[in-house]
Amino acid sequence: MSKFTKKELRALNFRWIWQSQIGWNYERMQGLGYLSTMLPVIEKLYGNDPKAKDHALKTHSQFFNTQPAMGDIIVGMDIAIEEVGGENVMETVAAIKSSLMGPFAGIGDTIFGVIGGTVFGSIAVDMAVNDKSYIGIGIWTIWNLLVLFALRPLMFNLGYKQGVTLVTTMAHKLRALTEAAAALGVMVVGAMVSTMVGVKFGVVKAAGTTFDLQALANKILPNFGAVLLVVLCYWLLGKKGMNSNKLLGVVIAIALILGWFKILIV
Amino acid sequence: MQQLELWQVVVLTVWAGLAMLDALSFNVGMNGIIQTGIFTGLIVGNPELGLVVGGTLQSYALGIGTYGGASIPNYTTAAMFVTAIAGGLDNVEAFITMYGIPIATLTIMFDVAARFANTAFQHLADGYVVTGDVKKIELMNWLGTIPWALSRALPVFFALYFGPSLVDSINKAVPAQLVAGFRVAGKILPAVGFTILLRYLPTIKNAAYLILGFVLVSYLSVPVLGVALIGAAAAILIFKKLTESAQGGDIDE
Repeated sequence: MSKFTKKELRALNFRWIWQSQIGWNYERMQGLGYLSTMLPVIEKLYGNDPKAKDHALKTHSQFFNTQPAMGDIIVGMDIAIEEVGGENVMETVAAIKSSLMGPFAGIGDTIFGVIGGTVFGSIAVDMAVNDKSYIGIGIWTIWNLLVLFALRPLMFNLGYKQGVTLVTTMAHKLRALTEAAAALGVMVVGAMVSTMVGVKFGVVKAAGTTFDLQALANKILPNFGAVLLVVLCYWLLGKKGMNSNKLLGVVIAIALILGWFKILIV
Repeated sequence: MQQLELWQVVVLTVWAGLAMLDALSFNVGMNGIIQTGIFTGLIVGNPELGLVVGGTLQSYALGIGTYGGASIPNYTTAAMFVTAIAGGLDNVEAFITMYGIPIATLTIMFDVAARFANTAFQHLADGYVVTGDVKKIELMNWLGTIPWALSRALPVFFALYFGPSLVDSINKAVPAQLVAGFRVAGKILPAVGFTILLRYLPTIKNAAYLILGFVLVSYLSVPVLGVALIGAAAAILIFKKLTESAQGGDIDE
């Protein structure tokens, strides 16, 4: 009953991976990429029916944006639904796309951003900077390749085979996975604050006495300066009107001023 | 100061453009900050310098993702530039921030420009949707690769072509205290990325793991990979607990 061969489905998955973001723009974001991905589906299902084809082209021109790998699931679902329902399900498909893209982006950014960007990134940074070793970046690359060649095809197939039912059966598992990834991410950040944030105090002369600030700090907590700085940044970033680029400026200013007077040293 | 040959500038420019396309699609890591550093290092004959420069700049970006299409500092271009110019210089640590941060933030506008330029192709595609010209719609999407690739290739080309002589004159003018400040900045800047991530993640809820990660490294000197493995073990337990409680139904809760 399937109108698409395995090979065609694999090609469609590849289309999404390659085309989803090359036409990214402020107006429709991944919308153009989504439309372009679906073109062979539209031609195959509605090629002989100009009215249906027009309807499908317009439906898939909508605004769309999600985490690309999570998009695999949505594209897979979409193809499965249209394959069975044809033009009649166009409104359903539009609703599924717009209702899933937001939550899927949140889940995908946490899972892929945290595991890829933070966990493997931290290991790679730690090994590169502290040991001058290429092993960490090698591990990260293997993860990237696994995502591309194993995980993303798997997610596409999952979406295609399970269709909309996936949302109900998987919703709980995805939420659990997101929570688990968040705990892992937070733990790695706790570790990285110790190894990567190098706040070291100097020796300061005041009122005729010298204070070895670092020795004082060490008595309180190892990496006390790092903890202090992260707490300060966390508090600042919660303030109104503050954003990550301003915070970058604030931290550089702190470094330049305190570094000039040798209150902070390397 | 290392002067670059024209072929080196050209190779790095082409890499920058292609790497961006990889970041948008396959994401094997060509556009990664460390990877780009290593590649640039290979081209200028000092891969280990690229590894360290890339690693340091990557540490500023660990918590920063392009969530929802936001433009973020372009540390990839920065890694290329610093690796290309820093060969044979003392104080590389200071240069990573002194030149890396301005380059990374100034080049944000190229990213914005690309995302904006592609709206033109979107409008053309909208026209082809009306006429039903499928081939042209796909072409419009593909044309988006041009602004994207240029958004990384152009800044790299200009920075590498004109940068070295500029850097030379800046270096002569900068007082030693300021260089010391930039070295300090290089050490403490990772805090920014981590903070962004802590704001993004449910940190308060996971405070126990934050403390655990900190203690494992600060007091027990466990390597980061080891902490990640303990974290993975914790994650598996959390996942199991959450999914099992679901199967048990509402009675358990």
